[in-house]
Amino acid sequence: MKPAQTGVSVVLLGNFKVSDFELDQIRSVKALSENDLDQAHYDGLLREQLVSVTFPWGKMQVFTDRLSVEVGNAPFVRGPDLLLKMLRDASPASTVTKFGINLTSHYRYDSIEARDAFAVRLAPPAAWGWFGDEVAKSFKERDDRHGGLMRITMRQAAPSDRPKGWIDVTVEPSGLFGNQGVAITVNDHYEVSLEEAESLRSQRAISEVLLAMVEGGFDNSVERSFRICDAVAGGV
Amino acid sequence: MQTAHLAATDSREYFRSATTADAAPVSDDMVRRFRRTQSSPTTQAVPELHISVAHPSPPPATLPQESLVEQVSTQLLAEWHGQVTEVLASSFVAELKGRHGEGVAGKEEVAVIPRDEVSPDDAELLEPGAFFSLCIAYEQSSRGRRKFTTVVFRRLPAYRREELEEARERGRQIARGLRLE
Repeated sequence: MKPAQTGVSVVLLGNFKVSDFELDQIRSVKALSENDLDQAHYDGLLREQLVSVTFPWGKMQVFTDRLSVEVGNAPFVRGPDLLLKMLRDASPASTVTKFGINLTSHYRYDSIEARDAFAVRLAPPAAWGWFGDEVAKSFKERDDRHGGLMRITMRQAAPSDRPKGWIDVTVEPSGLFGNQGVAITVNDHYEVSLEEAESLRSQRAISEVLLAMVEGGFDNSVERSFRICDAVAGGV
Repeated sequence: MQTAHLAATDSREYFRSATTADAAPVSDDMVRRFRRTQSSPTTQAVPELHISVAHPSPPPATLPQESLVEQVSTQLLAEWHGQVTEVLASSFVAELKGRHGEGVAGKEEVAVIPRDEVSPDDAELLEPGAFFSLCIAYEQSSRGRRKFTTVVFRRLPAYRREELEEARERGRQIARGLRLE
């Protein structure tokens, strides 16, 4: 089963100099094309505290402790490229302490019954005792009388490809396809271990290690997340 | 203390949408609205829907509101990362590495790509050594399904960590080879 729509976001936590991410700065380092800049607009601008910019292929938000980019369509690598270019060319004083690469795929099932069957495979109502029996009965109903799985998250703790982190996979209804949609989100989270942080000593050095992980690991993370989503949606 | 308080207030003085010059007072709520509720710190919902405005100018009053927007979904079929090796008059040669798609991922090949595929915006980036992404996708809309190709040149930082480390190492090697007369 293949997704009908996929989006990716990269979220960096740390300390960010918000004013370095305004449109003038984006233009000066050529982090976006002139065409993208011409169509870009602020959703919010609060001096030193918030910059939220939307452009044709995505959105960047900056707070003092958080920097993120969302990309609605491939190529998704435009997201980390934008963040890395802004951090290295426009805001060298900003530092990163941890980050996540998130992918959400939306699947369209043939019918509401097919979507229920998928949800029952993930979380059988029979495992919820008498309450589960009541929920299962409502599968015959329509619209807001139709119960079932709302949200479920499975975590792979401490994956071997990073010093510290996790992979969380969350399944929930998708608003895209009425009662036939399912959204699967992968949160691929990375940090440095306490030991590594102590050996690196400075926040700048930790940040450089994490940025190198974003740069070197983004493609593999996205491809793995695609495979995770397909596996969960298809059950294989 | 009073100065610090005033500074904090001043920084919240304006909260403006870029499309208007209107300024409005800012509250903590406004900042919070921009933060999404999250179950983990680096989780963020991605855009659920690509919405394109079908009528940029106001539509006739008889049109229902729903006709203003059209839902479009895009399914990625294949993606390659490429590096330009040669620029020709009407095309360019590139080494491609498959990143996504059945029969594509992991495979390497050389391709000749028409320059027409490069948007005018990216034309200045087309030169030997430049990196780009090549995607093939289906776009599904109320008008049907169409297959399209996108070539996007990457806008990379002026320096890369590996390059700096290589430069440092090269510097060390040179320094070791130096002899003081």
